[in-house]
This record gives sequence, structure tokens and C-alpha cells, in this order.
Amino acid sequence: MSGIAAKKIAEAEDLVKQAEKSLKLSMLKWVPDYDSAADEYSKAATAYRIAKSYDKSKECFLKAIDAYKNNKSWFHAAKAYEQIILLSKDADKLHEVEEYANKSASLYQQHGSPEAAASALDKAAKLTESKHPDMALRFYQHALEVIMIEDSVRQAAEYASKVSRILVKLRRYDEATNALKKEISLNQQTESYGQIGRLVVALVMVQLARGDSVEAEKTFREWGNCCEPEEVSTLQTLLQAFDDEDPELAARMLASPFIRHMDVEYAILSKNIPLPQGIQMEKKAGDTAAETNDAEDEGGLC
Amino acid sequence: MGDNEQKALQLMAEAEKKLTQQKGFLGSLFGGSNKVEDAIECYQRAGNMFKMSKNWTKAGECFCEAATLHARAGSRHDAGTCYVDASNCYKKVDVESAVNCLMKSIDIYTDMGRFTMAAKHHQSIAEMYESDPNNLAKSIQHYEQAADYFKGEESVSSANKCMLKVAQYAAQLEDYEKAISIYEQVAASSLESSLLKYSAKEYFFRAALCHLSVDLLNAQHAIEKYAQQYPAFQDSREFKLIKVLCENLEEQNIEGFTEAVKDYDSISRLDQWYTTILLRIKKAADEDPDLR
Repeated sequence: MSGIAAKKIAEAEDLVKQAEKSLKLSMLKWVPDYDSAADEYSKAATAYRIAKSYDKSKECFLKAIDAYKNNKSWFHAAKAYEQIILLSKDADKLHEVEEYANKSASLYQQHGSPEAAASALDKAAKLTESKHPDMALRFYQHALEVIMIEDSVRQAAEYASKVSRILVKLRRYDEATNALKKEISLNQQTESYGQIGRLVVALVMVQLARGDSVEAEKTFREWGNCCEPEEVSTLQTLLQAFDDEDPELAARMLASPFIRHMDVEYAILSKNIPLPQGIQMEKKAGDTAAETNDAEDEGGLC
Repeated sequence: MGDNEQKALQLMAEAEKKLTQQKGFLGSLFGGSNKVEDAIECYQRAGNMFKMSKNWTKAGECFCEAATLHARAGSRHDAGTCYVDASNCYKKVDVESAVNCLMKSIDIYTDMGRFTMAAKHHQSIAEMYESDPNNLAKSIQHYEQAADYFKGEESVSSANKCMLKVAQYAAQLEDYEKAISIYEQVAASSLESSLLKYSAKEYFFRAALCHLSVDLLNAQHAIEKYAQQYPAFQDSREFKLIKVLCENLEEQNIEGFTEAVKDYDSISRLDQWYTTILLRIKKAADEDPDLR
């Protein structure tokens, strides 16, 4: 194995020398041969990668990118940035992905391929999602922006769905509310009413998680007609439980099979929603304290 | 039958003659590469004829010679293809030779940077080894390498398929820690997709059984963790079975354990892998009674 690595490194070094030669000027050659140099640097980078010399591989890819840019090959330059992203994964340096993914997307857009730009961001997001969900979130948001320029609503809805789910996972419920509303409006444009029904359930749950059952009720009244009968009955009973401050009924509805089988982030969310507190006469002072806290919160919002 | 073999043998002799004969001064100047190509063509035709005669060993030999000559002539892709043809012949009669041919092909494809092809061939090698219980460790090794290459090319579903095989055989070889970490990792990545998440319960079930093979307490903690990750798992029959098995093991109730497995099996048949693991768990419980 080390023999193979040594062989690949030697091969890579030869390719680098050839590339440097291609860039040199002479009496007969007045313009550097960027095309050849870029290809040679790319091959060298691949050879270094096989030998697991990740730093050298990245260096070669960056040189290849410079050569592609000088040759006005935006697409190939973007492609090479994507290769660096895969390298970052192999070398376990995922924090570097953000810089290169954004550069890759930018070059694809300059080339006139916004779909490829969105796709590159999508791949980068999938790579980073488990370890760096906040970075993945920014990638999906960026992909959503890019694809909306081209009015690809169906694809945009998919990216919007990922944005919403990651925000719920990160427990950023205020932002999740806005993301879900945007997702609902995208699905309205494509007339995906079945999907909207599920999103309404998700939105109601997010608002309950924020502690805003009034807003949850408004959401249900506004979009409840898009829900399936089962969704309607579940939400009605759930909202009733919050109105009546009945923790047992609320817990039972949140554990219903229908909610359990939604997307995983929402199923987990249903376990984390704070249940309504029952009215207990002997703890009136406690209630008063809670009300005071609510008032302070409202004051803070103003 | 005999006719095809006769023709094939003649073609082999002809190929060897083409390689060794000296054509004279002008011939060696201008005809150098053509004779190698002619020899390759003869070897390939001979290989195909041996195939018709079902003489797999000879057919493999011919394709190997053709591959060697392709490599010498600088046609690496063609060399790789011929090695694959050779391994397809050899694998019917001689697994080790088939593996050697595929390894040569893999070297060529990795040199060319074509990792997906290399990964597929590692997968083929692993599949050849998996039918022999003595070679399961080698099978695991090749599936792991295939998965590494697939991951490098972002073919996640292919990589996961290979890793699931690794986990299955690792558990069979009683390397439960490895099996558990793979099942948990594949389950976690399945949960990220709306379509794949329905498979996650099977992976969690398998991981839980591997935990049970190691330690009861860890198994109990594990299934609670899985229910946290995937709330729908808690409603599944697999979860209920594991719960009942844990209770029965805690109470040293072997009859209850057996009864629970029978009940589950009567509705969802358990395949050989599950049966093996469950028998091991039961046997371990039998041999290790509490000292209370």
C-alpha cells in the first residue's frame, strides 16, 4: 500500500512539473498554455488524493482552478472546487467546505448553470448536515435563493423543506415558523395540497413549541381546509387540549401514530413540546408568578 | 465441443507465433504494434471459443493473456475489461484466480481515477468470498474497501449497501461492536431522507439484537436512544419484541423468551441471520444464570 502511495506521489510530481512547463513562456510561446496546465494539475491532484496526500492534492486543485479561470473555463473551475469539497471530507476538515461550496456555486452561476450551482450546494449540505447542521442550513438557504432566480418552484420547495427541518432540529422555532410559511406558499404555487396539509400540522406544532397556542389556532383556521380529515381531527383535539389546559389529552394527541410517522424532525419535536399546565387552586401564587414572567416576556418583545 | 476447443488451441498457437516471429528488417520497423493487436484478437477469439466449450480455465487464461498484451500496448481500459472477462470465467472453477484478475483490474481503474468501477469490482470479489464461511473475513474487507470508494464518489446508497453486508457478516463472526456502529450509522443517514426512513427500524432492530448479544443493560439503553432518534420506532413490532426479550432475560425466563420469538416469527418470518443471533442470545442466557 505504501508502495502504491509512493508511486502515485512520483506520478503526481511528474505531472506538476509538466504543468509548470506548460505555463512557462519562451521565444516560440508567448501565451501560457492554461488548458494543458489545468488538466495536468487536475490529474496530479487526483494522484495525490489516491496517495492520501490531501494537502498537496488541494494545492494542485487550487492551481488547476487558477488555470481554468485564466482559460475562462468557469464550469471546470467550479467542478474542481467540488473536488476540493470531497477532499475536505476525506481529510476530515469539514469546516473548510463553506468557502469552497460558495465559490463553486458562484462559478456555476457565472457559467450560466444555476441548477448545477444549487446541486453543488445541496451536495455540500448533505456532507455537512450531521456534524455541522448550521452550515448545512446556510447551504440549503443559499440553494433556495439560487433556484428561485430560475423560478423552479418544485425544486425550491424541496430545499425549503430541508431548511424547515434543520431549523426545527436546531430548535430555532421562530425562524422555523417563517420557513414553514414560505414552504407552504411554494407548495400552493405548485398546488401540492396534500403536502400543505402535513406542513400545517408541522407549523401548528412549531407554534405550540414556541408557547404560542393562539397563533397555532390562527394557523389552523387559515389553512385547516388543506388538511386531511385525520389531520383535522388530530389538530382540533390537540388545540382543544391546549385551550382547556389538559396535559394528559395533549400528550395523548402528540403521541398519535399520525404525528409519529411524520418527518423525523417533527416527530421528535412532538416529544419536546411543553404541555399546558393544569389549573390548580392551591398553586395560585405560582400562576401569578408565571403570568408575571409572561408579561415580562411581552415587554421584552416590545 | 471438441471442434471449438481445437480451433481455440490453434488460435492460441497462432497468437504466440505472431508475438515471437521476426518479420525481417522492414517488418520490425513498421509492423511492430500490429502484431500485438493481432495476437490480442486471436487470444480473445480463443477465449470465446473456450467459453463455448465451457472450458473455463483455458478461457480465463486467454483473456488474461489478452489483458497483459493490452496493458503492454498502453490500452489500460481494454486491459481492465479483459481482466474482468477473465475473472468471470475463472469464478466458476477457481475463486482465487478470479480474485487475482479483478485485483489487477482494480489497480488499473484506481490508476485511472475511476473509483466507481474499482468499487464495483471489490464488491464482486466480496460476493465471491461470501458463499464460503471460511472467507467471510476477506468478504468483509472487500466490502469495506468498496464502501470507501463509493463514499469517495458520493454514491451513498451503494456505500450503505456494502456497509450493511459488512455489518451482517461482522455479527456472524461475533464482532458485534463493529456491526452495531455500522447499523446505527446507516440508520442515522436513512433518517435524513423521507423515503429511506422506513428502513431505519430494521437497522435499529438488528443493532439492538447485537447489543443483546453483548450485554442486556446496554441493549436497554440503546433501544431508548433509538426511540429518541426515531419516535415511530417505539410503535413498531420490532421495538415491542426487543422490550419483551429484555424483560424475559432480566427475569431469566427462557421459556418466555422463546415464546416471544415464536409469536413474532409467526407473523414476520425471521431469516437465518436473526435465528442465529437469537439462538446465541438464548444460549448465553442459559449458560450464565444469575448468582442471586
